[in-house]
Formats: sequence, structure tokens, C-alpha cells
Amino acid sequence: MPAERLANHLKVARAEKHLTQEALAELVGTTRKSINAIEMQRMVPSTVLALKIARALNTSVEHLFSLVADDEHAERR
Amino acid sequence: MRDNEDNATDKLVRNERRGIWLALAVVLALASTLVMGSDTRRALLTATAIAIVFAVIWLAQSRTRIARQRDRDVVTHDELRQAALAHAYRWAFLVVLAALAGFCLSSTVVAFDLSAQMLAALTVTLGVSAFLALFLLFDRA
Repeated sequence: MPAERLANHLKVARAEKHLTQEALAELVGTTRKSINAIEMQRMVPSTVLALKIARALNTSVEHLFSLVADDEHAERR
Repeated sequence: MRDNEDNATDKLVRNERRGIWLALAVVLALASTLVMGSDTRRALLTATAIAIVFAVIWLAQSRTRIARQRDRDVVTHDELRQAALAHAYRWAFLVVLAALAGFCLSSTVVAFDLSAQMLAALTVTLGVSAFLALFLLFDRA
């Protein structure tokens, strides 16, 4: 099974709505650091948080998050 | 868009981290008295130092107490912090297990003059200090 990782377009989607990390965090009830960690792909959000973010940005979870092949793992093989 | 500006929750997190640093200092102070032994004078000095540290923690936390309930809930249930907590619990547990395993192995070679109470107290102290230190490490993002 090929290695996959979670990619997201949160930063772009947030910028399209002209929201700061702080404003988005306020809308979904989390901290700015969590939003930053998700955008930097240092944290995978829970299903509930992903749904809240999608709702706040008026989009779908699938539009924000997707599975992509992990190039780093692929290169090692 | 200014993404790096401090907001209410950032300040709360920073304040809480300060409290955890102080709690770690208290635990380490207690551990030092356990390891080095203590006469009455030293015990009094340690108790005074701990009282001062707790007073500082209490004063620092007063800012947290007056923060909005919603901001406090956000910080408490924040997923990044929850993940840091889970990591810290797991690694602190492994640290304690490793220390006990090391102690068991080394006690076959070297004779330790430690009572059961002292061992239990040192194990608790190690577990708490490892947890606090690891939480501060994982939560620094």
C-alpha cells in the first residue's frame, strides 16, 4: 500500500474568505496555534474540528483536506 | 492579514505555561530535599521557597481566572494541547518504566540503601517532573 499523508488547502481557503488565523480560530472555537499547526501540516484535526472549519469557510471537508502520496516515503523505496 | 499577533487565548496559554514551569520548579525542589536529606533549617527554607513559588503561581493565575469563560474553554479543549498532553502522558510513563527497569538491573550490581517509602516518593517525583517537562516541550508549538 503506498504511503499517503494528509494535505490541506486551509491557508488558501482562509485567505479567500479574508479571515485571519485568529478570526477563524474564534469562529470554530479553537486557538490560533491549532489553526497554524493545521495549516503547517504539523497537526491532523479531529473530524469534528475539520467539519467546523469547513462550515466556517462555507466549503466541504473534502475541498479542504485530501490524501496525497507521501513523496518522501516513495523516494526511499 | 496579521497572523502572528497575540490574542486572548495566546496570552492564556502563555500564562498557563508559566504556571507549569513554576510547578515543575516546586516538584524539583521537593525532589532535591528527598535526595539530599533535610534537617529542620533546610526543611523550613524549602517550605518558605515553595510557599513563595505557590504565591507567585496564584498571582499569575489570577489573570487566567478573570479571563472570559469561553477563552478558558477554548484553551482547555484545544486539540493541539490535548495532543501535547497525550504525548506527555505516554512519554512520562515510558520514562518511569525505563527508570524502574534501570534501577532493577543496577540493583543487582550495586546495593542501594533506599527505603520503600523513599523509592515510591522518588518514582512519583520522577513521573510528575517528566510529565510536566515533556508537556512543556510538546506544547511549545
